[in-house]
This record gives sequence, structure tokens and C-alpha cells, in this order.
Amino acid sequence: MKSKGFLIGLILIVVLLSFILFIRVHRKAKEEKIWEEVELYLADFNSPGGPFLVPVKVKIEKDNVLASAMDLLTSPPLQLKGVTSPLPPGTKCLSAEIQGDTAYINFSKELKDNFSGGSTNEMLVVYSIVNTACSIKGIKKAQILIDGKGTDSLGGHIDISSPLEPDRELVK
Amino acid sequence: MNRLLLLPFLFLLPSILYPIEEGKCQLFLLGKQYEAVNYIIEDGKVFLAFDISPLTPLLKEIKLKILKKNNEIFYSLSQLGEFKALSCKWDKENKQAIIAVRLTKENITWERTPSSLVFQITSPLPLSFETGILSSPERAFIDIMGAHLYPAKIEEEIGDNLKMRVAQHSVAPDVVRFILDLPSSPPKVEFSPSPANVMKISLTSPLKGRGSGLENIDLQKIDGGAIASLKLTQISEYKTLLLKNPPRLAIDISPAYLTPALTAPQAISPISQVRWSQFSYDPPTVRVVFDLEKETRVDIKSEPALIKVRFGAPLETDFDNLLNLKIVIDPGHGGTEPGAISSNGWKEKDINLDIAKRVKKLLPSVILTREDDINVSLQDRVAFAYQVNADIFISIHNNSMPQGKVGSGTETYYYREDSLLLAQCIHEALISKLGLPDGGVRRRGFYVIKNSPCPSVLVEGAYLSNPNEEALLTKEDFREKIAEAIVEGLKKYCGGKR
Repeated sequence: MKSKGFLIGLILIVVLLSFILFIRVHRKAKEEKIWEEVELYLADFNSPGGPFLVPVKVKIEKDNVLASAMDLLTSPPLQLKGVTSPLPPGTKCLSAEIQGDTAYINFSKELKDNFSGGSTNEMLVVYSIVNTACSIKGIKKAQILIDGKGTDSLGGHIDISSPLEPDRELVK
Repeated sequence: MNRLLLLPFLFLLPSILYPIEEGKCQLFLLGKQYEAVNYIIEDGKVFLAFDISPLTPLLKEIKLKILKKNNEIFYSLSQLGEFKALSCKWDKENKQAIIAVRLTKENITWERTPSSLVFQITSPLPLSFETGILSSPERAFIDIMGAHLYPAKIEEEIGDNLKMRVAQHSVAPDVVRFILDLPSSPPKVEFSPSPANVMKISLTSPLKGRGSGLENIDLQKIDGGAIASLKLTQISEYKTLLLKNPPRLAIDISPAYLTPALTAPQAISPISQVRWSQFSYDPPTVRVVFDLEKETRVDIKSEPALIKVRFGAPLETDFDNLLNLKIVIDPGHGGTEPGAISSNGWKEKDINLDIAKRVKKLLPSVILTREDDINVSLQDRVAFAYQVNADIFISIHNNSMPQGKVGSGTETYYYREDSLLLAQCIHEALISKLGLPDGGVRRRGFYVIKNSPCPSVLVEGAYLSNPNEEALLTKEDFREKIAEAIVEGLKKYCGGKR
């Protein structure tokens, strides 16, 4: 009986040690990835004088950073309190590419179809995308595409038929 | 068992001890290099002794315990390491002991004043610094000799496109390098080392030749208000921001710098105070703020190198004058673009068109960008204003918030300075006639008001996403009120302009 208890204890210790080792190795591997800091511009609807865009700094893997940032923008991390994505529900980023200093970001049709109107709302949607894209190193302008095609405007207030530079008017 | 062997020529020196196995050793202490002057062997290990007498006063100050062995004084390396301000380490590979001043983020501070930004590096002990400016891209550096940085790399955005980077540049000798990436139009950089443990680097506002100098702010009393004149050394771009709580007008002039001659003018009602600052360095921007006793109408005119702001412009109604102007009314959206849709299915495009038609009834001389439920692109609306050589452009909209949000109130948007007074006049009339929450006169770059050839505003009458305001918008008399307010605002504006 005694030796059995000892054996179980030993096994437990071995399991625990290998678990700790695994976590350490795993953490190390994670740290070795190359990260880039990006600003997600999310909407704060509750501030007086608002709504505003609030830059939230996030670290994203350098590979495919633009598409990853746009995915985060369509569904921001839940732990971010007080800010939400201004993008219409159902919007997905289909693809994103960088040509020179310009980002071309292709969204699903929900970006336009589910847009609920309002001038400030349109400003929030357009510049949450453009400002976020332009927070990535080397990107100076961004053009919004819908289902792979350029469009005049999401809701009739802002011209998005060509690449836009970031705008800080709505940024708090 | 003490097997300490002392060589007969060992001097009475305060020394630092550490073990080595063989060969020659060096000590780098606060950036200076020391050769071993002696050695002792204890427990089969060789300990080297260095003369650190130049440091004696310092070591006294930090009250280290000392080892006394046969009348010799020794400090052990590990003990020195307990002193927070010092970093001690034994480099096995190169057989070097390194003792350096420990620097952390707390040792680097900065402070902003209206015309400068001053960084200060404060070392716990006197150190030597080397400074300079590197080019392409331009950056200022300070090398802090004999220091260790914890953590080894610090990066911080300071604002105004300034970035501070501090890193361990080298070990043995230990050098921490502080780098400040300067903006493309660099400010004047000055280094001032004093006292011996402090290095300051100050960036002062850009000098002449980098934009326009704000030379003078003059206030002059007029009937019912005041005129402010901002004199510049040369033509410069500017933009205005009308702010509330407390009411104030901010003017950002860029590229521009402050001149030393600037003095505060005596306040004249409705201006309670005039303030200014070097708002940013890249681009060099001067911000002048007029604090106002109450919300006041503002009219801005600029001549070359002179910005004139009229506060409390006295306005009068003049209907005939209105009939002679080319006023374009732009009902927002249309056709396949409905704009906002209320929960009961009311479409913004229809309400906008109805209000525009009511304006035309009240003021037959106005021209509409669309008279039917058709698509008109943003570009075509602006092109229309060009075609008819418009004097005034008013875009009529109603607002909405995204899912789950309601929104409330009336907002009037302008973009260019030539449109601020028009926005104020129309907004005042809308607020007093509609009685909805005052969303304010705001500056936003919506396409039509950004690109039209004349003073132009975009009116957001009420929120279709708000059930109460939706109910109002569906009533004829409420839409009529919006139309009346627009005409009343136009009268105020055109009267005031003459």
C-alpha cells in the first residue's frame, strides 16, 4: 500500500513538472513570434459630446497583419469595455492587400447593406477602417472595397471611391 | 579554515573582489576601465583586486559593508549589487567585472511648456554624457557612459510625431543610448549638462523660416462685439474649432510658430481671455484660443498674413437680398439610396426631399439638386453647385445611430472656415424653432460641404433612430419648421454678411 501511494505521488510530480516545462517552452515559442503594434479604432457611443473613435493598441502577428487587424475590427475582443466596433452587423473582411503605401480592404456586402444610415455613423465606420489600416507601418491610405469592387459611398455622406487618408476629427 | 594568502606588496586600497579561474581580468566601473592591481587566493579560487580609490567617496556614501581581511578592505561584487543604483555583473566569457549605474524609466522624465519640450536624464551618480545630432532621418542622441538600462529597451511615443528610444547601446564599455527621432521639420535642439548627474535636452519651437510667425493679436471693440486680428509674418493655413463648455473658439495656424513679441491683449466682451500655445511641432502648429463669455456668432475672414475674426457679428434680416442669391438646397440621398430608415419604415430620402421642397416654397429663388426620388452622386451634387455658380449650399439630412443606439437632437456641420458663420446662423434658428437637444455646430469633412464652391453646411434635423423624433419627422408641421428655420438662418446670415 505504502509503495503504491509513493508511486502515485511520483507520477503526479512527474506530470506536474512536465506540465510546467510544457508551459514554459510554449510561452517561449509564443514570444519568439514577431508582433506588430496596431491601433484598432473602435467606437465609443457613450461619451458626452460623442460618439468618438478611440484608438486601442493591440499586438498582432506580423504575417498578414492588415487582414488580422480587419478581422479584429469586425469582431473586437470581448474584454474591451466601453468601445464597440462601428461596423454593421454581419460585416466580414474577405481579403486585404497592400500595394505600395495603399491598403485595399475588401469587405462583404453587409458593410453597405446593413449600414443603418446617419452621417456621424458613416464617419465612424469609414474612419475606423481607414485609421486602423493606416496605423500599420508603411500604410498611408486605404480604400474600402465591397465584394471586390469600389463603391461611391456607404451611406451618402462620404466619398469612398478612391483611397482615403486617416482622419482624426472623430478621434478622442 | 582560512587559506587567504596575501602578497607582501598589497597596498592599502579599497578593492573589489571577485573570483576568476585564470588569466587577466578587467573591471569596467561606471564607464572607466581598471586593470587588476593584485590578486588573492581563497578556497582555491583566485580573487582579483582593483584599485577603486577614485570611487571611495561614492562607496562611503552608499554605506557598504566591507570585508576586512588582515587590514585590507575589500568590497565584494555581489554586495555592490545590492545597492539599487548600481548594476554589477561578472562576464565569464570575457573575464570582466562590470559595474554600472542602473537606469530605469524613472530616470528619464519630460516636461512640456508652451514653447518647448524638455527631457531630463537624471543619473543616481555622476556620469559622463556624449551628445549629438545624427542625420537622415534627423535624430538627437545622448550616450550615457557607464550605465545599464532596465529593461534593456524603452520606447515611447511622446506625441507630435516625436518618438523616444532608449537602449543598451553596448556593454563593456557600458553605454546607454537615448535617441529622440525628430519630426521632419525639426525644432531647435539644445543639450544642457548640469549638474554632473543630469543631462537635459530641450526642443524649442521651430524658428523663423519654418512657417509663419504669430506676431500680434489685437482686439478692437465694435458695435455689439469685438474684432480680433491675428497678424502673421507670412501666409499660413488655419482652421477653426468652435467649442462648448466653456464656449471658446480655437484657431490652429500651421505651419506656424510663436514669436517672443506676442503679448496678451486686453479682453473685450464677449471675449473673456485670449490664450495661445505651440500646439504641436510636426507640423508646427500654433493654437490661439478665445475664451468667450457666452456662445457667440463668429465670422472669419483672412487677408494675406492676417486673420480677422468678428465676434458677436450684428445681424439683420433682409429678405430681398436672399432672393438675389444663388442658394442650392441639397436633399440628401434618393433613389436606391434611402439613407437612414426608421423602425416604422420612414425613409430619410423622402423626408429630406419634402423639407427641401418646403424651403423652395418659402424662398422660391432656391435651386434643388434633385426634385424627385432619384439617385444623385455626391460628385454630381457638388458639380451642380459649380454649374449654377452657387453662393450658398445647404445639404438637408436627418440622422441615425447604429443598432441599439437611439441618438437625439439637431446638429449642423461645416467644414471650411468660410462656412462657420452660415452654420451658426442656421443652427441657432433650428435650435430655437425645433426645441430638440442642441447637438452643436460641428466640423466634419462630409463630401458635399468639403468640396462645394461656396459657403456650405449640412443640416441633421433630427434622429430617425429615436422614436420620439421619428414621430415628429413624420408630421408636416415639424418638417415645415425645419424649412422655416433654414430660411430664417439664411436671412440672419445674409444680413450679417453685408
